[in-house]
Amino acid sequence: MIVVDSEPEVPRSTGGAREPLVEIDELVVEYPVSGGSVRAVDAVSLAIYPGEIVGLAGESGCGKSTVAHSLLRILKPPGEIAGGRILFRDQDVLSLPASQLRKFRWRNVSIVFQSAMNSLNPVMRIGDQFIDMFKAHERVRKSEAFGRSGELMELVGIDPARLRAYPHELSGGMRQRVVIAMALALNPELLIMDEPTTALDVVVQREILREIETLQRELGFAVLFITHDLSLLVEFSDRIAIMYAGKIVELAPARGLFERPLHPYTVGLMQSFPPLAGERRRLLGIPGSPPDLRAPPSGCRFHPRCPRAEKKCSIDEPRLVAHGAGEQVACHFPGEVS
Amino acid sequence: MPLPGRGLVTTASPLLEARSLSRTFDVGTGGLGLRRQTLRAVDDVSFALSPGKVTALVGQSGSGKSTIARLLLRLYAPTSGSILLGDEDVSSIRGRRNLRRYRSQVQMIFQDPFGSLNPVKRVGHHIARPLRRHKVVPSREVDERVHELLDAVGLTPPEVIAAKYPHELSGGQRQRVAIARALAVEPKVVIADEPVSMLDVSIRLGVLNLILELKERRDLAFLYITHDLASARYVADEILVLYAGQVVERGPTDEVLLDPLHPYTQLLLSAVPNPGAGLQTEELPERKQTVFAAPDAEACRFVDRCPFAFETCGSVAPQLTAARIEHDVRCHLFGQPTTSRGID
Repeated sequence: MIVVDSEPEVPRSTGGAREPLVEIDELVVEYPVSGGSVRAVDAVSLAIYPGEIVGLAGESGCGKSTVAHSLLRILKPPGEIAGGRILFRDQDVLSLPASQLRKFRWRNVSIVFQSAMNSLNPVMRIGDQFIDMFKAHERVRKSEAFGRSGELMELVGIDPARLRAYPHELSGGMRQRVVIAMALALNPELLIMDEPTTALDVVVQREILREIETLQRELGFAVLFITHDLSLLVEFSDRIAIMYAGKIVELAPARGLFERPLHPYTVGLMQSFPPLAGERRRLLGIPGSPPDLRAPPSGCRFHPRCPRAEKKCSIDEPRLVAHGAGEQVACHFPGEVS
Repeated sequence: MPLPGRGLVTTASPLLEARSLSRTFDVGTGGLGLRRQTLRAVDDVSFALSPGKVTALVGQSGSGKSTIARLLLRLYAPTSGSILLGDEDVSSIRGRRNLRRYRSQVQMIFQDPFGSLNPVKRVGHHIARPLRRHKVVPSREVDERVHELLDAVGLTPPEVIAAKYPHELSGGQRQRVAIARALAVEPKVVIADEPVSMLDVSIRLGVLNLILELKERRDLAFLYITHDLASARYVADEILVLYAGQVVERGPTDEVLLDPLHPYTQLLLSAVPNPGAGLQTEELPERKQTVFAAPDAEACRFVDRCPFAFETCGSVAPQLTAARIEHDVRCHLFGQPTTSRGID
């Protein structure tokens, strides 16, 4: 069904003893501002294993997209990587020369952006855009590229006849599928999805996520899924990392995180979604708003909004440490709120 | 602190009523050999907003929900049907003064709190302007009223906030400024078009809670327009589900969401992320591949996506009928259609 030389089925794994595909180690990203710099990403470490779906959640400005952009080396200036290391297998991503970067992007790691459906060229037929993409990355004949494009379209559930269509003739959901098909064209080992379905309807969003889940099982690539929608992540990921103000505050298997959130910020996020069933009652959400990173709070960055905060929290910054099996949390008082 | 009301209606009689509201748009100019087509963006929509009640209008993009908001604000004129404010038919009022008077009673909160505030004007200016324009209070009391309004939407200390520029506020704070501005003219009806969809999850609840609080304290009638069923359930007393410009289901919130009758409502509900279950659970049955060769103009608008569609659906337009007490649905699965056109 697919031409891309697919590996044998890789079981979904939550890590274990396997070698990580990507290892982000103490990544620091800074943006210069007048009179200093803002740390948008502050010592973030995260490993992604082959064939797993890792969710990265947090609010706007928490640094989640910046982590993804650093991984692909597509950070927009003036942002710059000020420290840390990113390994892809044994390759040091941050020191890749430009010539290899081109190969690294798309062939090793590809990305689907939030408004990707609007990134298609409006005056070119879908098929021609596929062919352009293939030609940019490898030497293929046009007819072969066209054939492979058709198979990719089938892969994401669109009639290959639509290769003749212009983008405006497809719905938003179909355009997003086309972009996903393109991202998978060179059989990458990691697919980064940066809020890929936020602009779509819930019904279409669900259809697309289910398809990605199926493709991921078939083709065995790993996924880094970035979103602010925690409820979506819990359903869709194997592991979830929660970011707050540039730091990972909790990292745990999805189910565990949902059933026993450890960090009070995670607890607050969970309680910010009104339920669709059960008793209707007033919810409180999280008081206050995310901090200004130009002047982050002392100690734990969440302490001004935290219901558990004590004096210690405003002085000592908690480190991300193991807590139970496979869970990590950066909090002086982790556990459930009574 | 509550502001003195201006003779608010306290009974539950409807404040703003839409009666068979319709709006069509011409798409395609008829030139270049293209067929002139008419899009029925809003088709025979009726509802009533009452004081102290939140009514939610739920639907996906393109369902016509924002067109309804614009019709109610008289930014568009209805093609047919009428809008009533109290006993007065306002669907054809004209002239700046009349429209201004109408809009002092019906206010709007927009989706984008970044785009709806002038970036070079301080917060205080945004709220003082409608107070002066509509002569809500004497000039010397404007500042005091600005502070009261900021306080009422939870922006404290008001003196400090009033002196800030929009860019100095967070998204949630900006949306609160937009709400304070809408409240300045002491409206009876507030139309909120996706007021929290651009806000971060952790601050959405704060704004939703503010809507609930204002509804209770000021006896406001709210129309809450959204694509998000969970937030609709959280704030609304009544829900209308919109599909392709038509109301397909309506009723008290929990009646509709816990016992959804229309297949579209069921589809919407099944698509909401539910962390308790998996992605694969509680799906609607696969759509039967019944082919409606040429669903004519009278076909149910949902027929192409409906897993339960049968022959009648392809030829007879379903009517909105009462399937339960206070619970209406537009679907042939429930009750008899009131018209019998096209039935063999």
